[in-house]
Amino acid sequence: MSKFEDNLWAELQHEHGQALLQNMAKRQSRRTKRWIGAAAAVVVLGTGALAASTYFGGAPPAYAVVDNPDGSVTLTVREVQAFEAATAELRKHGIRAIAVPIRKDCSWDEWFKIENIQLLDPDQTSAVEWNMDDIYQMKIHPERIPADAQLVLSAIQRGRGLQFGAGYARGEMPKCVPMQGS
Amino acid sequence: MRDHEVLAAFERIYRDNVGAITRFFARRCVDPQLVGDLTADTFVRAMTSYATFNPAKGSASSWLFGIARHTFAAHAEQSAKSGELVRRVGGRRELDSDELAELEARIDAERPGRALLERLTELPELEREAVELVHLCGLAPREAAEALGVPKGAMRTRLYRAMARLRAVVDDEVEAR
Repeated sequence: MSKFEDNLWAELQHEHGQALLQNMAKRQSRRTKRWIGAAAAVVVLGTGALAASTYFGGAPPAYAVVDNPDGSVTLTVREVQAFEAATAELRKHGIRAIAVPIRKDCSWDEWFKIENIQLLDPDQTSAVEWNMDDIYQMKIHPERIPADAQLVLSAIQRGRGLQFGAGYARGEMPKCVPMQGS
Repeated sequence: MRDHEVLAAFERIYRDNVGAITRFFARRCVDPQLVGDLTADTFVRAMTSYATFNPAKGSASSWLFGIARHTFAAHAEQSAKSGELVRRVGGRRELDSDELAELEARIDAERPGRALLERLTELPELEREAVELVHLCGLAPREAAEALGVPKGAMRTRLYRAMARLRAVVDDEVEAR
């Protein structure tokens, strides 16, 4: 690097570094809002689905289940993978739930096995409460899952984001959830 | 991405391209202070619009050359309006003697490039810029198309046409000697 180039970089960093960081932070915030907006649109269609931008940092586990003092559990999803392992982990915490993929090639017969949960405007009876401050997280209230049903959590990786869905199923459990528009 | 990672990513882009951008202006101006100012302006614009840069839509080089073209066009327009050389855009520091000497050396080194650009004045502006970006700045035709905002498919045709015209100009000159 020449002296001119080094001095110019020092000047740029000093004078405009903050502006660069602020603009990047604004962009990140806009992207998050867009994801939530997309989720709202999907929910209006009745899928009970939410989308969230995902974290690709590498280190955190794909999902984590933590018990809360009030009897609920908090599920954190970072990547969509290992649905069976996720189901086993939820069951270990006493949650009657299964995790299944959202797939384009999934039969619509599977869809009819599910009664969707409204995720964006949950009431006191909803078994799933999304954490709007950390959209990778949801709180699951096991006592609110109807006695004759299981909670179905569905997800798909979409580009750099995740799309989630939630519902109840009775009797035969769905193996997957068809993607909207497929 | 954390703050230091954002800055480090931009610094990589800066260091990879600052030489080529400086040479771009050194082919157009013979005043080292002005070359320094225009280079600085290009990177100030890049820094303040970095949030809009999308690597999926084009390379950092093509993005920066696009900004450099606009920076020079704005400078030329301002110069034409005021009827004199416009120095300074936004209170930049004066370069010290070492920096001026470095830039003078670059301006000197770009003499053949300036001569080529003068020959290219016969060509339509877009073709002239296409030749410069590919043959003098080292951009791939795809990147040049992104920088100029023209369809990628049309870029090769423009380049071929421009080079054919350039060859004809050179042939005419040889014949006239």
